[in-house]
Amino acid sequence: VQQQQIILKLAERCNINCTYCYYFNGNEHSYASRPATITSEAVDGLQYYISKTLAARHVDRIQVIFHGGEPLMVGRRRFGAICSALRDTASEDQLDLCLQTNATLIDDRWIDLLSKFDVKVCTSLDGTQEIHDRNRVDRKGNGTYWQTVRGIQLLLRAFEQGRLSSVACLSVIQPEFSGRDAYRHIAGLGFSQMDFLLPDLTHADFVGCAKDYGRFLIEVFDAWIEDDDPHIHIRLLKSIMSVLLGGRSYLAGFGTDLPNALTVRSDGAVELDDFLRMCGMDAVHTGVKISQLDSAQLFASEKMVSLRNVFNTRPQFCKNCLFVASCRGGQITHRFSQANGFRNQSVFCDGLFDLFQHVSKFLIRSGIPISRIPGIQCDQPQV
Amino acid sequence: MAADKRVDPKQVAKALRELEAAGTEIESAPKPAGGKKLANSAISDLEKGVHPAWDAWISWTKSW
Repeated sequence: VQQQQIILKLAERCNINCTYCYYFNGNEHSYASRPATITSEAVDGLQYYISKTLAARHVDRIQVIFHGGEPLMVGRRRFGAICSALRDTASEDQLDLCLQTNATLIDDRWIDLLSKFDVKVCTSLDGTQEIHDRNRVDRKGNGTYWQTVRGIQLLLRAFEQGRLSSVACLSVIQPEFSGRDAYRHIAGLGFSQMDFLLPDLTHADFVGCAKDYGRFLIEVFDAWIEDDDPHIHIRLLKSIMSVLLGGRSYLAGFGTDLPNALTVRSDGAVELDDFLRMCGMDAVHTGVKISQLDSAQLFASEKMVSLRNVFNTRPQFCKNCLFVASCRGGQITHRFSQANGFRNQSVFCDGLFDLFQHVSKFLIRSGIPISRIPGIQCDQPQV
Repeated sequence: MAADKRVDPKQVAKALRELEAAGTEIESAPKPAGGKKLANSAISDLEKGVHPAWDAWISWTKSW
């Protein structure tokens, strides 16, 4: 492992209540038994782990992602103390600090802190007010669009001034709306780095039509192509182009790259990649605290070996698909069911097929012969 | 959805025919395609190994 991502649960509570939240409104509710904000022991344990792991050269760089709940609920003073402790532990070229926030608590004093410790910021905004407020609501059910956009505007201004090194946007796909509208709105606010996430759904909870998700992403793709601005990055779409052309994905757990992030809970407990949580607590539990963690041992453990096997095995369903070499069955969590584990096709399969076909057509029409797109498996039986 | 089914072969064959037709179109009647800069950027990223703006990191799904 050259790089390691650690998802640090600074707060296991949130100031808003998004209806689709995998953490609070998903299948697993272990947050309720954890401290609301991270303990000092967990931070000390993480410092120890980072210095030990870098000194042993088990990894070259570590990225700590401040996550939650809403991580800013930890409060400015503690946030500053935690950043300071982590920055004292490793040099800037060995340690990246990142924040995933709903942006509703952002003010100038937060920006001073984020700037001081060079924290890269990613915000959550689903699109226009109508799109965003459909699911991203407060505890009374009121939309949070305006509080979010107010915070985003402060962050983007700080980015333009050079005070923040990165400000990106994540958007959860709402298939009943237009992908074009969502993209245009986010790009119009001034974001140049963005992604559109398929919701955290397994075969147990997926309802609706997978093709609608494909249609949404195709609309985003077409609007992005119309803009034709290489400075605007849409991570999933760039990843699809890359894996079709035989390159790697930019997104852990999709295409070529294994989901190997670790999660550190507010009490210091270590779990596997947080996005496996929707498959149940058994999928992520390790039984180890961060202060005791030996990363080499964990990555060689039965659980990680089994995760790698799942990631590297395509469902039988995908066997004759044109895009099996590039899509690789989609994100593994989207394949999960209690009955079959990860052996199903993705719940988004039909939509992903349409999207991969659409992006492939774009590449071909851009002059790349189909024979030079290794992500298309052309030797299919003809019907 | 059962685990032992396969992607519909008719759907696969239709998609392949469409992709091949797109290839034939561009060979027989070349016209400027939209998104040229983005296509070039994707190819250039591939040659470099990873997009430079992402600092060689593969990002975690739920953040950047």
